[in-house]
Amino acid sequence: MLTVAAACRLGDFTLDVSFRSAHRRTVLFGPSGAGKTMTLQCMAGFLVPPRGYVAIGETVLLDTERGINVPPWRRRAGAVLQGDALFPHLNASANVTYGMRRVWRGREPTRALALLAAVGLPGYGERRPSDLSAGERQRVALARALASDPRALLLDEPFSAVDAPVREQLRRDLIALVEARGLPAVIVTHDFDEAHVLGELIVVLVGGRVVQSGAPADVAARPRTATVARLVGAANVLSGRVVGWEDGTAVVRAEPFLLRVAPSTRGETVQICIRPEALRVGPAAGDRATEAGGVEARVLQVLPRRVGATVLLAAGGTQLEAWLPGRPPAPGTLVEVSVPDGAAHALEPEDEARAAEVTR
Amino acid sequence: MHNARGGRQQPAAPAALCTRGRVKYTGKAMARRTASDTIDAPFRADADSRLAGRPHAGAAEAARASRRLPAILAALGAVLVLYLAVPFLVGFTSLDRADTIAAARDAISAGAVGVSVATATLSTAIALVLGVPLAYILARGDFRGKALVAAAVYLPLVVPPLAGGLLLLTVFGPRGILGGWFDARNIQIADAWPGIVLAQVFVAAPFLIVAAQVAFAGVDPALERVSYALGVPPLRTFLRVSLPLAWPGILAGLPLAWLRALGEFGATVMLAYHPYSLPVYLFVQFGAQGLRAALPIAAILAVLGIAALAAVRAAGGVWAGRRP
Repeated sequence: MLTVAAACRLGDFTLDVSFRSAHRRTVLFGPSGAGKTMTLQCMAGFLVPPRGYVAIGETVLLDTERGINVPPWRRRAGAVLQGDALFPHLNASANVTYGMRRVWRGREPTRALALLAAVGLPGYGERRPSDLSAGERQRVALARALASDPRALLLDEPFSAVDAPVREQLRRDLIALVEARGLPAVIVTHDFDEAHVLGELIVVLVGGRVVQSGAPADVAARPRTATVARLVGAANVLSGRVVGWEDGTAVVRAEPFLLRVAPSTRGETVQICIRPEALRVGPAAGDRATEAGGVEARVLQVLPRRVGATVLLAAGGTQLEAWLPGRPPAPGTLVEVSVPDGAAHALEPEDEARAAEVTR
Repeated sequence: MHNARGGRQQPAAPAALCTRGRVKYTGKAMARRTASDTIDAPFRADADSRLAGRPHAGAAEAARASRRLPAILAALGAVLVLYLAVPFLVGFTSLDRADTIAAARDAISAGAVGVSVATATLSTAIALVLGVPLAYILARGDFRGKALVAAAVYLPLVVPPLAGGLLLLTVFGPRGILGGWFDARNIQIADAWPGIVLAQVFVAAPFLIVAAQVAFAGVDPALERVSYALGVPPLRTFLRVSLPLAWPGILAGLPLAWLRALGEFGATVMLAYHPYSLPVYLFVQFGAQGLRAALPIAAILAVLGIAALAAVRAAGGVWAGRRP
């Protein structure tokens, strides 16, 4: 169990976050400048917010109301900072031994080698940080953090400096390590793919606030605001107007579609998100009647994906993005686009989402 | 990974050749290259250098040509170098061998060499022990009045040493605020070796503090934060991370401070005319017997200075070589 709340001001940036996670792997996700790193620093104790609360498991590390502020060196927060920050004057083994606690006295070198082997670097003890690749350095940093017997692992953009294939492997190894050791981990990233792979819970930060938190699939499927929708790659955000109500759901005209959604507010206008992978695209109806709710669109551009393709469509004055699994239609052709039930949901205005967020 | 390691131990010769005159390969790039170049290394190395737009031969010349510097800058620099070096050449070549040996013997028997070396070393040690913490505080601290503290470090530099000595007299002179206290307890400061040390610390410490401050500022604060996060408290972090990483820079400041202390005359002559330190002895000999008698003492000072620089260079090499 992990509880974090922090409110502080730095220049003209205001951080006011609050979240709770019962999961082992929690991801702080958001664009750069959203306050992810600041939140992590509050957890590690590098930054002390005027109002805040941090607890890992049963241990309260910060509670400004009760005047508790455990200094960073007693928090044992196992921080792995952006860009690994290995000690350049120490070799890999000495880096790992560095934070070992007294109970390991006399056994440090053996344990360092074992930990290096555990992160996939057997026999790397003598290497200097300058002789290691970015991925290897990141692994040493991980071993070093584990060696300090931390309460949790705090990882700030851990794999941002690493090439894509290595990153993939590092992600898998990180998940395996965290699971094997039963350590809670908090991972900061601005990459939704990474958040999706690493997180059991994703906490989305925008502008210093938590705008959404949930399981990766839920965040991907139902982003709460237009900003989150854009961040998770749900590209189709349409402005709509409520034209009627039927059994508690609103009938919304969002050009070019007429959709039924459940908006959170009773306003006149509402923003609609349609996930690109949910859009249904078929051959143009031609003379026969279009499917219920289907509209005609022209294919503008086709961008191959590893499986299927991203297809950009023009339907009336609206540009739509669809991710199609099979063989995509050729650019220029006419197609019919429809929105299956449940593929569209109403977004909340940016401010409402903020107010609705739970506070401690 | 193991592949790359093997490759680095025995880099293919042509690959090594074609790196000359080009940007030096980093270890990582080198490892990647040699690992993939094992089969057709000669061909690939050749193709590589052609791709880089430079043939094998002439690469060094090309690099040199691109580094051609404006002649006017070289000329201006040459004037200054000549001016700096010529007095040494003229002065020391005019030394008479027998005279010099005699003068050196005199200087040693008068105690001036011993006093100077001992006091300069002690002053540098004091400046090191007190100055390094101060430099760290200045580099990392965030407190009210930091600007004032930083300015205070430069105070000895803004007054001529002679004036500095005058100021020291107001504190440590026989009637100074602390000098009187020491005097009452029969501890002699002025006109004794403690006075020499005080004068030297006063003028030499800023050099060490500034060098150390720059060195500490160059240590990535993230390394200290990581150390805290690993459970190591600030003082141990300072000793195990900040200080070792800043040490080469501090080491570079040591000879500057030591030489400044060794050559200290102005403040010393005000506070401690006796016992003679080398610069004071030089001044006295010059006044009594003229240039010929004083010149060998200047030579002794120069030799000590060169020896100090060489010693620190050697120590720096040892330091760099023995990292764990």
